Amino acid sequence: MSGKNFLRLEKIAKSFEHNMALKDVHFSIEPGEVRALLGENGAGKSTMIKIIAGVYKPDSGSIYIDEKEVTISNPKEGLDKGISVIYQELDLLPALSVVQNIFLGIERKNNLGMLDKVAMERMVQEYFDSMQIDIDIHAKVGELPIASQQMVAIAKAVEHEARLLIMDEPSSSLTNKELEVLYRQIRQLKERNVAVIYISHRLEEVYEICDTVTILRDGVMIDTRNVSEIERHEMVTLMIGREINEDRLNTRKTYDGPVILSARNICLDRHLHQVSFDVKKGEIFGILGLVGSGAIELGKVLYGVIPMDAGELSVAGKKRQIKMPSDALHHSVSYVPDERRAHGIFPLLSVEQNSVITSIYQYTSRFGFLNHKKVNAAFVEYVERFGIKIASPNQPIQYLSGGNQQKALIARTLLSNTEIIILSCPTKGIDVGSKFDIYSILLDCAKEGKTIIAVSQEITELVRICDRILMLKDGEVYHEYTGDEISESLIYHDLLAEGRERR
Amino acid sequence: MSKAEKKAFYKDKGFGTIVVFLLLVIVFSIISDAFLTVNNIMTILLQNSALVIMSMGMTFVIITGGIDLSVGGNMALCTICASMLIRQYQLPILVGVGICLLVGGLVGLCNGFCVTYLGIPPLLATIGMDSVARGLAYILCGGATISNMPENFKLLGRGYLFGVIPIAAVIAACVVVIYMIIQNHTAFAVSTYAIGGNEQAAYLSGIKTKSLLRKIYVLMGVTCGLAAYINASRLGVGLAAVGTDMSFDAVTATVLGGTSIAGGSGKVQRAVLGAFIIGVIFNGLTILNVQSFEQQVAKGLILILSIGVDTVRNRKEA
Repeated sequence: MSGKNFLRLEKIAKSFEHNMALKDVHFSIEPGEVRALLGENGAGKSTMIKIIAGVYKPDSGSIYIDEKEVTISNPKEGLDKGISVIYQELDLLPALSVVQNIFLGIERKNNLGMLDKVAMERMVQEYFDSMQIDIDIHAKVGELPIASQQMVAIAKAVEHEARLLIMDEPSSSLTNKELEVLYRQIRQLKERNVAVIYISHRLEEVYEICDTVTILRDGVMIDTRNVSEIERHEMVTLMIGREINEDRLNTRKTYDGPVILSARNICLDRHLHQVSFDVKKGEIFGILGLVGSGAIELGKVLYGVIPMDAGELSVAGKKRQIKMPSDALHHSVSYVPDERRAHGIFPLLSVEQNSVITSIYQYTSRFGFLNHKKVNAAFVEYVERFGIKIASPNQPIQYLSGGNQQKALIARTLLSNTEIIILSCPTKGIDVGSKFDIYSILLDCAKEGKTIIAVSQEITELVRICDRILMLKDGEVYHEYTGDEISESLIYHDLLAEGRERR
Repeated sequence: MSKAEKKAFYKDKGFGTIVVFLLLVIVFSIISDAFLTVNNIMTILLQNSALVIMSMGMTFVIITGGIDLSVGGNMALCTICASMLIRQYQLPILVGVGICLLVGGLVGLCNGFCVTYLGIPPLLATIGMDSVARGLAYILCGGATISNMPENFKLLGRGYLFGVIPIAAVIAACVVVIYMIIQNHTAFAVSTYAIGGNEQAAYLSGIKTKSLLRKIYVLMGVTCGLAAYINASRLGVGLAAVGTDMSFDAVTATVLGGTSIAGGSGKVQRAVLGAFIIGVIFNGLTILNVQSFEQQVAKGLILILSIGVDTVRNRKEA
């Protein structure tokens, strides 16, 4: 390799509220290099790419492009400097055609200043032919499957003459054949001297396509190595960290109880295929899966956020139709969403109102008037029990930290007094201290007989608190872990294993 | 008050509105002796009763992040239906009011249906409904003025309590109090703020968002019906041309009162102040013999300015 860096980060640090997301990160990448970026969820990968792309501003540190210091204050500036990012949520315009999307903002014009459609179409077709991509260039992007959209996104980066392409888990929704196309596209980028940062959880892909690998853990850059010089096992160890803290907070070795929720053959479009499982009363049941596994979607199906296509749900022995959240609440199932800001909190309302909103009709008199005293008493009980830090009950929730907001949302489900509580990514974006508070709240709830279903991508947290863990892969049940099987290293190896079939 | 609380108080959207209102009153009383008289104050109260009532319903609609631009047409339809029936059958006051509330509520229900069931953006759904309702009003009366109304028809709009206080203003005050109680003491209101603040989160919290939105549009319609009756009673006749500026004025009053057009926040009592700012300005300008064309320009500027301030505020907070 040339030895000249395209991009270099020096001493980059970034924190959110009191949560250090990145500490003192040094990173560099050369033109034509394909770098894998590995780390567990919450290790700081996303934060790092967002800083490179100009979405976030680093708190301190410097960024160099071609060894010149630069500031990238927004994504447009990043693009102008040759940095393209393909996020998991593709930012293509669904109503425009493939060609229009690819040339968006860099449309070719003919001598008269009109759009040169012929030339643009020819260029796209040539690129697709060379990559053996079979996509109609006139199709609307929104009508294409996700895999094809991704290919379009890469083609867009190529035509925009990106010098660094960052791909955030590009493979999570691809079949093996589509993966081949992705590899082909990456190899061609490499030939064009484009640097690539490749984020994935699948180690076999790292060996297949990457030259070098950088491992992040807890916001710290652990190591950068040549892929040919590192063993798979070592990679995993570096990712998890030496002190694999297998201390379970849940002290129950095994747990048994009557079945309270049972799911049979749940199907949901591309996300879930014939998923069946039973949850016992009073247990903490984990549903584990990476992006694209269907875990998040399963949580939403159980609460009726997305109606299932086929399958059956029984709660406490009775078959139930759960088509919308109010149905779920009616059958004693409540839910804490994973997107706290978008789907959880009412930013302008007070912490108190946020906490009681689901159960608010418990506090009204016959004529529909609220009993403010009762509301406050119920709320204050949870403030004390959970240690929620607030200035006053009337403080708008938007000014609280993520951890305190999450506690208020858990209080919301407990106030609604349901038997079953589903939490989607229970500690997403929360600092370590609050994480442990939340774990102990959940363990307490289970002791009191509540049934907890925790959907998460983080093995560590599920291992700490769950009685059983159900792993999903590609929308199917992969394995159910109980007793001694609940071990971080065992589950992690399974999660990264290539096989997609059930054991 | 702590320093932070003081700061929050001055930054509070209500504070600026009070200052503007007081300034207007001071300026007009200096310029004209006729302004700050009991007689003129009562005139302002009477003239703005319908607007105050209307802006109560509008505040709730805007808190949900919606808007109702059909209130003008709705008023016309309520007015015509009620006045034709009243004249035909010599109906008592309460029955007349009841007809207005019923017709207004039905139009509101149609709005709610369009917004929730068909998913039409409130702005467009209610503009369409405005035209439908006014058109129906003209069809019913054939464009004619419904005159020769029974004497009691004029009581609520023209009558005075103790010979000084307009009955219409008393009714408006009662409506404000009722709305304040709903706003401060019901689960319905908390859910309304919740929908405006984050509709998705509201849905996930088990709130039946569609049904709640429908109720809010119905409530707006019913409120509009009451305003329509009072307005017609003040005029003494039934006109299909009433309320052409009403949706404009009600939105302006609400936004002037600090209710964010983006939804999720706002207070009905502030809309009262907003309504009186509009009222005072036009009363003042009329006393000063400013032509109605100039008043039209002033009105438009006030709306743009107040929404502009709100938008800039929202952007700063974001």
